[in-house]
Amino acid sequence: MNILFLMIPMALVLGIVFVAGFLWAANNGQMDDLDTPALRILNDEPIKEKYKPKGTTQL
Amino acid sequence: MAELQQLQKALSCDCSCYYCGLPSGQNKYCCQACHRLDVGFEKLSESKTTSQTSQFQYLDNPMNQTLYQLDDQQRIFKFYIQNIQCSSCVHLLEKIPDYNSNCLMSRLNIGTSELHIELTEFGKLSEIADLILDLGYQAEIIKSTEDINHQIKKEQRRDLIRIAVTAACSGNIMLFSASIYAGATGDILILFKILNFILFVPIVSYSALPFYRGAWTSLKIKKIHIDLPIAIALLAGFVFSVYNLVTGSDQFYFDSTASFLFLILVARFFVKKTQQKFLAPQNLKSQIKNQTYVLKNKNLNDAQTIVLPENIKPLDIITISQDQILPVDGFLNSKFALIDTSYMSGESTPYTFTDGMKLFAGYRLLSKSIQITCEKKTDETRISDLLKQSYQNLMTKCDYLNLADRLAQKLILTVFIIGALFLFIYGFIYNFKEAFDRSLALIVVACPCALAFGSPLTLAMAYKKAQLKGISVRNPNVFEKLSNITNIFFDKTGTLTDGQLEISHTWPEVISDEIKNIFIQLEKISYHPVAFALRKAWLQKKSVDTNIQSQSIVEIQNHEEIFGLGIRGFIGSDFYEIKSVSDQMHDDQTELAIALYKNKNIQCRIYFQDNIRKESACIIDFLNSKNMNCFLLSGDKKRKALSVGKSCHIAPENIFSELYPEDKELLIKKYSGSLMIGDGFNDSLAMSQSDVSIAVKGSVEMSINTSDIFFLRSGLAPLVELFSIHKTIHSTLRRNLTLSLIYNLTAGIFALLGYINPLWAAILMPISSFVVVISTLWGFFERISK
Repeated sequence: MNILFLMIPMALVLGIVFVAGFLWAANNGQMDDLDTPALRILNDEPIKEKYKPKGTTQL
Repeated sequence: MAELQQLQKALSCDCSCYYCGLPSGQNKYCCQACHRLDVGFEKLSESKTTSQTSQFQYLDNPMNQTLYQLDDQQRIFKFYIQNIQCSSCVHLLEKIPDYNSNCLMSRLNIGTSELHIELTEFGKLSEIADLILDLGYQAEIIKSTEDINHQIKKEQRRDLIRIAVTAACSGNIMLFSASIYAGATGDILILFKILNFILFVPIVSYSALPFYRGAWTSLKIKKIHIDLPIAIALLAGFVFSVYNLVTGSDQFYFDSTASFLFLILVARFFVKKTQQKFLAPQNLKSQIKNQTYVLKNKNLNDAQTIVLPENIKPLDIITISQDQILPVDGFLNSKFALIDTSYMSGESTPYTFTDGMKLFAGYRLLSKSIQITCEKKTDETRISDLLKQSYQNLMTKCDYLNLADRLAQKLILTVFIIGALFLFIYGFIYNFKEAFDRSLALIVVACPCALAFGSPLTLAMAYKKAQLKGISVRNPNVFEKLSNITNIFFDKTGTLTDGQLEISHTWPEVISDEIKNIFIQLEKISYHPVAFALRKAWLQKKSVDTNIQSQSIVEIQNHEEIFGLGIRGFIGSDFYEIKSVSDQMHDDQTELAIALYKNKNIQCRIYFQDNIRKESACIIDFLNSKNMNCFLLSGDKKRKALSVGKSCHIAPENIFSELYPEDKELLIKKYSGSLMIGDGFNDSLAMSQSDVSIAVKGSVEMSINTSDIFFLRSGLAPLVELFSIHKTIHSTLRRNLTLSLIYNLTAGIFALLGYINPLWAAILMPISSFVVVISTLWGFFERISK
């Protein structure tokens, strides 16, 4: 069971590292806008050829 | 239920956007961006007129620049873009640096509709503003001092960090607690307990701060709030567990309270985020702001300066150009002016004013530019009085406790009373320690989580659903208030009707292309609604009337528009006139009529009507079948109001006509459980007075600002959706409450009987929370899948 005395501090340090990483990301504004980047990646030139229009029958 | 679905089906005649596939109402494209990207940018931008002076020139004034610049070093500016629809908008707006070499960066946040622009030192702000306008967006520059979203962003980051810390700590606490429950002994048990305690310290001292604040306010204003029991349970659990840690006994609440707090924080974050996203943005400003006017300087001859409405002083002489809205009350200096008063009176027919007459702020100028002498400052005008009044009414409305809060209060109070009674009775009869254990278990376990996050989550889901259906909710209490609605008031023009003039019939029935061409050419100089209706009918339907466009452009001599009378001019040697036909000449169905005279001989007459929306009657039937009273309020003449009311199936005794904004307000005050649907400025006062107010698509911003709900889809169809969402909310809330009452009752009894030890609390609390969450999601999922 002595291994616990190594594992527990390691687990805690790992946890702290991840929390610190998250704090850094949040303070850097990475969580501010979660919607636009997902759309931005779609905007590849030329957009028109790649896109197949929907609902053409309705015209 | 079946009839409701049928009605919904009948109303869902909307198309999807040709370019991006999103719902687009009756149009081919959902937004300008899709149109541009589909047609090709170059093709459309040919029509761009670069020679004109920009209306945004005032932005280039260095004094104003510092007002807008967000960063000290870099020239970063922020625009609020009003009509963002889809990914095409992101695409188009972020291409700005391609079109303007002085723009270094353009970044859009679709969640907040904000566009960040970075300029080089040579970049002109007015050019960017023009470009955005040219791309088809309503942009408004945000002053650095008025940047609300910056505050929201900071708050959101803080919340996220709080959640992250709580998640990390409670996750680790769970790990160690699991080992304790699994039977850790000896030194390891003590080590784990101490670790639990250390991990719990950040939770109790940092994560729970908002709950302490809430509890403190609740004590201060002597109203029981949901934060109070949460804070008490948390603190009591902490103190009790620390006491047991010191004395060496085995009872701990670290794990259950930590995970409970984590769940509540996550739920609250989610709710806040959906509210911010789906409650319509508050920074929609009044239309008068950000327009500029030319000020005539009295001391220096002919010197003219451009002023913002805020800077206009009494006795200033300003020039109002065509289509502008008067920023202040004032007296007309020019000979005459044709004014659209629909903001104030709701009447569609324009009025002619002559020299010296008083004009009110909010009037829109239809004729060419005029000069007025200002009487008051912008914030003392009638429009701003009405504005202030409306906002005040709105503020008093928000003080409302919803069902869940009231029930939570009762539940909390009951739990506390039972806990206290039990502590004393059991404590005196048996022993105090056991009594304390059990009542603490009761308080911890019976914390009303269904109410703490079930109901906010339900509301958040409802906002989201509403947004998907084209309903923008601005007031969070609106769904609760919908249950008490019995009287529904409709505005006429623009609400029951679509608010646009359209040719109803002509005399003779067929008009030759030659005459049509004469009409178009004569009306060319006009901004009268009739001119727009004619252009719409004859020029835009390309497939039918191509031959009009091919007709040669005729030269018109002495071409002039006489405001209030009509248009005249010579074509060749023939004298043509377009005049309005007096009211008596046409029937109730038509709004107005015009006639064309050639050398004083009548050639043809054209009758216009304001079409009643095709769904109006259908919706009023639906509302009548739900035992609601429908009323019609109109500023128009009695005859017209009656005829519209008749075709919409509104009972004649419920039709009120020839009303001023103030009359509408008085009328609504008389009825309880009122819902007002309108679109104009003249409705906004009544809207602020009603229990629930709705602005339809195409409303003036003034009414959008005072309304609780704003329809993003045109027409009245969203009204039916609104009632169906309201129904879903109620059934979901009821289910959640039943579930949580059953849980609280059983868990409470078991706690008092002494069966709930910390292990059971750790198991029961998350389970009950998840059941509530799943029940909420299920309620809305079911509706969506149908």
